[in-house]
Amino acid sequence: MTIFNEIRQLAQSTANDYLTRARHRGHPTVGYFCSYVPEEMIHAAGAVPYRMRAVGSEGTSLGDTYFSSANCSFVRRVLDKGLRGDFDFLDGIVFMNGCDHNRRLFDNWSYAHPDTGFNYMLFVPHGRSEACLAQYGNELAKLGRFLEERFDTELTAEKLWNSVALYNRKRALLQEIADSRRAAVVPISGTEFLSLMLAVSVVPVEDAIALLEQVLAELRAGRIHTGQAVLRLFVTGSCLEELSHLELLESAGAVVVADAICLGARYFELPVPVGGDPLAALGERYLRNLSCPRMMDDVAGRIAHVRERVSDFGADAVILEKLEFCSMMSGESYISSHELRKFDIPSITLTRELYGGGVGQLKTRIQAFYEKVINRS
Amino acid sequence: MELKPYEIIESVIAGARLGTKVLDRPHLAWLGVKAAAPLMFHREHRLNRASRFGFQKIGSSRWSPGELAAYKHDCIATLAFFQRVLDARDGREPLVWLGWPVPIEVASGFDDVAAFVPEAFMAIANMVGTDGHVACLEAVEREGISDDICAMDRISLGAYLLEQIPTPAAIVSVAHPCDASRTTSQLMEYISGAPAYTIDTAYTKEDADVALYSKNLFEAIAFLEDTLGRKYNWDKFRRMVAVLNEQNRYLNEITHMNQSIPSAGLSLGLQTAWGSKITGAGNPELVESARAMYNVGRFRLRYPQLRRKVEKFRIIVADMPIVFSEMSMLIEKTFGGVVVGDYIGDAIFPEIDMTSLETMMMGVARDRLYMGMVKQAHGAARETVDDLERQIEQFSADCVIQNGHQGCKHNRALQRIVKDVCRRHDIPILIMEADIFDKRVMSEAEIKRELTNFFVANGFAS
Repeated sequence: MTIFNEIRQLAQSTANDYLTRARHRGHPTVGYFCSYVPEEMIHAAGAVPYRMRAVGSEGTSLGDTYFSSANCSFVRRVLDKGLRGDFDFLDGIVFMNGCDHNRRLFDNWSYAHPDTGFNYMLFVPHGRSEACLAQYGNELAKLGRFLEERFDTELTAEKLWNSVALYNRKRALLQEIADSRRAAVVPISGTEFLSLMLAVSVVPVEDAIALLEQVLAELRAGRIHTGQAVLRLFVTGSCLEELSHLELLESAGAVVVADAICLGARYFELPVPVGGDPLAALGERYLRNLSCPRMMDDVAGRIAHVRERVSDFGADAVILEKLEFCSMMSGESYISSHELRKFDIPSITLTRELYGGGVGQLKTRIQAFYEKVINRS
Repeated sequence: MELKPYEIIESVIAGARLGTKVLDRPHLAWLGVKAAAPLMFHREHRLNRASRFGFQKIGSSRWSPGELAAYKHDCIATLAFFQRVLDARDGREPLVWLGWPVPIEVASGFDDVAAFVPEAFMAIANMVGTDGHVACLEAVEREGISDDICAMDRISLGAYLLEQIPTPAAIVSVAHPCDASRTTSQLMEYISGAPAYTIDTAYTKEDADVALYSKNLFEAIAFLEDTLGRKYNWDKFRRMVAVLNEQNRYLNEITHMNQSIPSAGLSLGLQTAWGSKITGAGNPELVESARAMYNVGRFRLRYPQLRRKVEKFRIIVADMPIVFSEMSMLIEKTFGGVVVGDYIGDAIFPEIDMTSLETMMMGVARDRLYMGMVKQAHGAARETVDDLERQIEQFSADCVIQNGHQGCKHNRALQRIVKDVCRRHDIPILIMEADIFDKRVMSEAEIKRELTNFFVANGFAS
């Protein structure tokens, strides 16, 4: 099996052999949501952090008995999978108040109580000020104490720095792979990159590094993406994990060259600064990393990031991805599209249900948008 | 509906001015309202469009002269608040926008700064008829902003787009209570271009969290001093907090009065107090209003036979009440059901420690964490669910109604848990699919139909 086939298989599975082997070595698996939960802390406690996803979801019928029709399809699908026992291999989950839907996912999960171990809620502030950083530091300390007690271990500075080094290495490798897409002929498509992200966020970090090194070796050997792309795209927005969706974007004649999504740049940009107190360093990195629309005081920073990357990666247009009922992305996409227009950067907001239908309609919109962008030049 | 610039605020000012005069003679006003009831009560139409909201605000002819007398003080506070906004528009002083859970004291403690809460439009847009809300919502829809955002927040945005709100000199926004308010704060800052300070809020009511909130409030005041080049009046702040404490004592008592059987029937008055507090906390008129309402409650508890005639069954509204058309008085008159408690009309506030500025600011922060909607919406589900359990027990509820507000994603996500709470207490629950601000989602007539079916099906009415 080639490395890309293996990655695709990992990306499309809920559980995997890497986790089973880690368990046999004495490392439990802890699920987590969102990009504001420091994996390093879970790793330093001796567990394998597992990024929760709805991959392989077959519907929402069980999730719908808890959530309403006004709640987003991500939480409904993930809870549905939880209730069907798909996540029974987990020893616990760290939830986070990423948004109202996710906040209530913790409540519904705790209430429905599927067999997934402990449920812990990490409260993350909605700003990046010094007061918020201090508050986040307190929350991380609480999480640390919880993990220590749960796994009967001590989160020493040495263990934390060791984890930081591993995760920084993983980030650096991902960054290098992502940067390779600056080239005129990209070595890896957006769909393949998302597969990679999905894969390396559900295996032990040591295995993730090995996989990424293999991928990088292939890219260095001159691999090129053979798809017929006329346009280069930048993708940003809320939760996006469907390979089929990126395939749809790319099969219509484009290639995704950069992004600002949770399973993308938000995950690997900015290493944890080394030195001093490890929890303070983690707080600094996670709270002040490339933000998502939940952070209230960084709209300008997010727009600046998009503009900078569009320019660096030679993107022709921006896709603003939004899940139905995502209030935060509703506001963000309005501001982004207006700001991008000022700089003559075409953009389109695509609203969808996670693993939802309407492919034909979406394809028509995408094709019309591409045509508009192509005709500008 | 075409709105002239500032038409809604000017209508509010005209209404409040009228209320201040007419309610000065509450018995006469009571007779007048009774006489107008046939034209106003059942539905909105051409003849009552501009006045029905005002009629509903003063109890839809169900209020006693005592309650009308209490409301006069709210009119005075409302008039002062909105007149100052228009004065600011005319350049007399700078205007500061505050996200609605931000304590108004942050801005009103300045002697020469006008404070405004854009979300006030959720309640006042009806002053020109229920199409006032729709006009604001349509303005946002024309702008291309998605309707995933709560209608309350979209109404504020729409009001600004339609020139119903003057442009601010500064904004203080807050990470409370939901995604919609967070994203709308960012939109308001973007559209107005005003400098902004964001308050991060507590996720629990524990001291450490409240201390963070309090610290943010001090920082917000410092931000306003720097941005506006004006000094905050801390003596005024002290006076406002003392007033707030006094108002809270009455509100706490009234909430307890509503728990008795029969209830004092003052939940609509408490809802009014909730709204008045957002725009006028610290205003002595609100103490007068609360005191007058308290006296009504005492009278009713002394003569329970009067309320027994009214109260056939007791309702908890586990949600914000419908705003575009007031329903509780209709339910009372038509079915004999009394709303004894709801999301916002349950006013239990801790006493504020007046020892120092720090303890006072902690108290103000905590006060707003106990305000309806913030109280239930922040943090974990237990904030909502425990509150509902407590209300069902303390208020001896016979049924629960949840309006199912479309914009309230976190509340909608708790419907299974809420249903199970009701099942445990063996009382029926109605969960609707209404939007409390947008009549286009579910009209007044449809809501009445759902309520009627629910009451009939559960034996509360025939």
